[in-house]
Amino acid sequence: MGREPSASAIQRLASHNVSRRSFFAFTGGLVAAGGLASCAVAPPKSGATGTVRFAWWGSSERQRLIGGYASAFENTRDGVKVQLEPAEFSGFTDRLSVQAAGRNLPDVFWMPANTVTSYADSGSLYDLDKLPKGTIDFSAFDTKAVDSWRLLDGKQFAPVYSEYSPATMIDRTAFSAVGITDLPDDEAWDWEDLGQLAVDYAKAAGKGKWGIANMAAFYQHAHLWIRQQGAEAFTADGKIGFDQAALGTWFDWWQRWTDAGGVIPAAVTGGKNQWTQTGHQSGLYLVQLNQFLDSQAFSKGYDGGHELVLAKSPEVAGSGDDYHFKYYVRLCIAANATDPELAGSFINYMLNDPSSAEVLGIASGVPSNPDIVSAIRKRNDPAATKVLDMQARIDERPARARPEPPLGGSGWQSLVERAADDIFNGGVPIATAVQNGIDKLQSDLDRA
Amino acid sequence: MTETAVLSTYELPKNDRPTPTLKRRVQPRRRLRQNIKHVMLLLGALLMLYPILWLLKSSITPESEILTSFSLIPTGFTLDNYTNGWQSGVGNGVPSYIVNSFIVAIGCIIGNLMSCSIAAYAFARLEFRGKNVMFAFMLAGIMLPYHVIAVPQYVEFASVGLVDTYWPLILPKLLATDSFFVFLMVQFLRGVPRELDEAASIDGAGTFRTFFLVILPLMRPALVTTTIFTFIWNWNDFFSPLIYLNNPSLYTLPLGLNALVSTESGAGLGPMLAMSVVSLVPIALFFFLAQRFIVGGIATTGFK
Amino acid sequence: MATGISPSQTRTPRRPKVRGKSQRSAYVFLLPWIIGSVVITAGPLVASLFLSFTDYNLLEPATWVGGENYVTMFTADPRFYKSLAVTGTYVFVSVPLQLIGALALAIFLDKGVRGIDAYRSAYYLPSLLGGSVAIGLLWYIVFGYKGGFNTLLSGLGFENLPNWINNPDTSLWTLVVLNLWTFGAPMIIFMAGLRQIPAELYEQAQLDGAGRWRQFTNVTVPLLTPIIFFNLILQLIAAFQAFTPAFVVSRGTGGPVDSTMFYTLYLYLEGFTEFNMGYASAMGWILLVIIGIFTGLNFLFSKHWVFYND
Repeated sequence: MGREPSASAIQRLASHNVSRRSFFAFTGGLVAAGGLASCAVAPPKSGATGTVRFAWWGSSERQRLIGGYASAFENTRDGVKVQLEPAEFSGFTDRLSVQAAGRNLPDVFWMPANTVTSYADSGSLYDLDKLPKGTIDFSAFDTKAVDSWRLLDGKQFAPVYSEYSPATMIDRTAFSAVGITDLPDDEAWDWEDLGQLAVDYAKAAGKGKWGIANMAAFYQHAHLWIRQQGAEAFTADGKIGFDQAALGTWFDWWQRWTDAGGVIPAAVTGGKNQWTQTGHQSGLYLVQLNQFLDSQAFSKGYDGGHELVLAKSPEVAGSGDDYHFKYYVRLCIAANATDPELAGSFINYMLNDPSSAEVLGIASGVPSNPDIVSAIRKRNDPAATKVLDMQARIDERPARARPEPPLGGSGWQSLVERAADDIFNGGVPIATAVQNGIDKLQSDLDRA
Repeated sequence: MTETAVLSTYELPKNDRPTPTLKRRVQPRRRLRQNIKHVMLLLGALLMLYPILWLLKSSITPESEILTSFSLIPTGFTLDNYTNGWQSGVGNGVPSYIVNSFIVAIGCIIGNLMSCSIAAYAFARLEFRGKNVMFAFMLAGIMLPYHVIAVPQYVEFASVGLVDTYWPLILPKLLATDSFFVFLMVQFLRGVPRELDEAASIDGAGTFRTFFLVILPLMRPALVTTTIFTFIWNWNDFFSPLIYLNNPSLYTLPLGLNALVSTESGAGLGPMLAMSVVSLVPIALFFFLAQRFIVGGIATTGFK
Repeated sequence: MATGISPSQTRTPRRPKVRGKSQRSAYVFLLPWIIGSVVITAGPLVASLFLSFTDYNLLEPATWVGGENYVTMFTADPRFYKSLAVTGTYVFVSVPLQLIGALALAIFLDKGVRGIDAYRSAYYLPSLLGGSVAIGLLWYIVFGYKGGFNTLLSGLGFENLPNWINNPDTSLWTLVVLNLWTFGAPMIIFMAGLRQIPAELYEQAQLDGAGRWRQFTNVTVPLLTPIIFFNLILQLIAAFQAFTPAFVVSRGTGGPVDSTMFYTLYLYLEGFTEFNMGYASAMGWILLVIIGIFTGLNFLFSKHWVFYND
């Protein structure tokens, strides 16, 4: 851990997993001694039962959809049971870390991009290359893509289940209502065009309306901006890949267009800036593609239905072309899984089973499996098609590698959020706020 | 020796809560004061209830209009939020979450009532070595924030295979670890005159009989208070059920409620508000019924 | 004393210590609590103390670092001090206000008012919502830009009103108000305590010619002191450990600009978001010491103002 080694007995004790366990076994033993273990109603967890514990995150609707799909794995094999362990995202990450501490991780679970390196590096994840060949069938995938998912010396810990990119969403109905029907061409627009469009809408719509909410804290879009500057959140060797200017100009943009009257001041929205949250005070939204379905469903109930269209994210004038990127939802097997092979075939089911196109569609982003994507396309669901079209347009463009945050880098998201908070709520100068954030991130990296 | 025999030593002229000074006042003045009192109480109540009334109103408002309307007058009417919320969730869904919440809450209530009352009796009335140290340790146990305790406790329960059962939630209550309630009951007991248990012991009742026949009935307000708080706190508890209950068929209501709004898109406000109302109903009803037992405390029962 | 019910007169002389059989039965009564203390409380307590001297990221075994966490906290962590200040302000403002409000209303409602059940329930209802996820939204509705509070103020002629939740100067105060809003819990405990006061003491006081105020100061207050004391300790500990209000209202960030960064929220973020559980444990133990000091002082002072009937 990069600390000066000391020979103290306690350190040696503490550094050993086994010793730490025996430390806890002490208290555990007391429980047993109290005769309380007999109260246990849980069956002991053993590999012989053929149960796959599967944990994922999502709102209740996604929990239902994916739960149904995952349970159907039981039909593909005799005597196999799937125990569903869903939770909403914030709860999911808390529970996962507690489970990791208790060496009681579910057999298979989703992994957010920001923490995958930390989990892999700590030995909490099972190296899928150790599975018998063919357990997970990658034949439908592009080999280059599959290899790009490898982490830490090229080990396959966490294949990608679904992916999504940032984009812009326009409430066309709202724009038409104020007489703006001529929307910019999203193949050619840049951030200045977006800012101007926001101002135009705000002017046309009048008091109490703005073009777009202050979404400076949206770290995926900040990431996009950084890449458009030719920089990167993290370099391949785990260092911070951007400087104060690269991120600072992002906040500059928001400040400028707020001053111009196009952006809802942060004080008004108080962090509520999605289509479902702003109370329709604006016409433009920055989104991730996997938010679109919810927004689409929500829009149907509003004011006789609003037409939402997806537009490609604007560029920075003069940015290169290979800045496009995707965020991943990954699938992992726990190092403590009772039956890694069974878990592996469950992952295979999640990645490859054709029924996923019908049952899940794009409920959690665009599936990584191209066959599933084409099957979804054939279903001609209008909302799904919009998302797939947009993802396809992004996928056509070159995309240089996007290294996952290294060990200790999971705080990169909070860097963007805190800087935005400091700047737009606290009046901290942009350069100071960004530099503070970078310093904090650097010290996190140094510590890990 | 019976309860009445003990109490008979304390028999006094029967009277309700005394307000003789009021009776002596002139009637109109009294009425005016009563009216002012009512107006103030009503205004206060309205202020207190504004957020809850808004919650009720919004739960029947179409979801896309919820955040545009801050007033208490409904802009539309729909039961969609309720039906969507009610049908949400994995496992056996919201109805089973409610049943599970009841199981946990009732288990905790039984645990706290039994274990805390006897521990409190020992601390308040019996002499034993190490009492002060133990009392201090008891309070120290609640001074450490739960998020620090959670991981070691989880490791402990996981090592004996109790994760994914209700035991990690209920067992601590059966073992009087909710020290707040022990302390509460100690404070109540110290307000009960010692002459009562002494009279009992003079009449030959042992410690146990004294506790069950004399002390326990006198502790009714404290026991009811404990019941109310245990019910509400555990009904609303989120973090412990989150880490200990993995299987959706064991989920409690807060876990289901938490999943209704999507972190990513912010959608699901309507069903979340509707199910918050649903979640509020049992505890509100429970409180409404239980509070009567507090009111009928020692002043109007034991000492009449 | 004229009323004949001065505390000192009801206090009985100290009993000789009971030994042997009584001591044994004491331990029998304490048995569940002792088991619980050893198994449920002591284990994690000791474990967290141990972890506070380690670097522990939850995923990997803890590494012993001696007092480093404590040193960092006091010498190199401005947010630690910020969170102490936020929690301190919250404790010292909201606890007294909440207790006074709860006590006043409990006494007010204890006297015969028509519809008392309804009032009591109305005032208690907010406490039931407690830390529900809905609170985050409800507080936005009350204190947001177009919220109920601003509607009220603009009706009174005020202009340029802020979003109180998103303003670093006011956000903490919205949480203080939230705490006051849920004053039902101490109120109920006060009510139970008022009901515990034997009616004949009031009767005696009346016979001795004491007016309402005298009854209040000579009967109600002294006999209620154990409960006031309990509520004080309870609210003090609860406020020091307050987490959920800040978590739901600030959506887990402690913002804007750390203005609602409660101590326990910072501790949680360190432990579970930054995977820094060793540091979080150290913070936990510092909080234990702080609460311990305040509780200890209260117990010391309680000898001067809390009256026990035993």
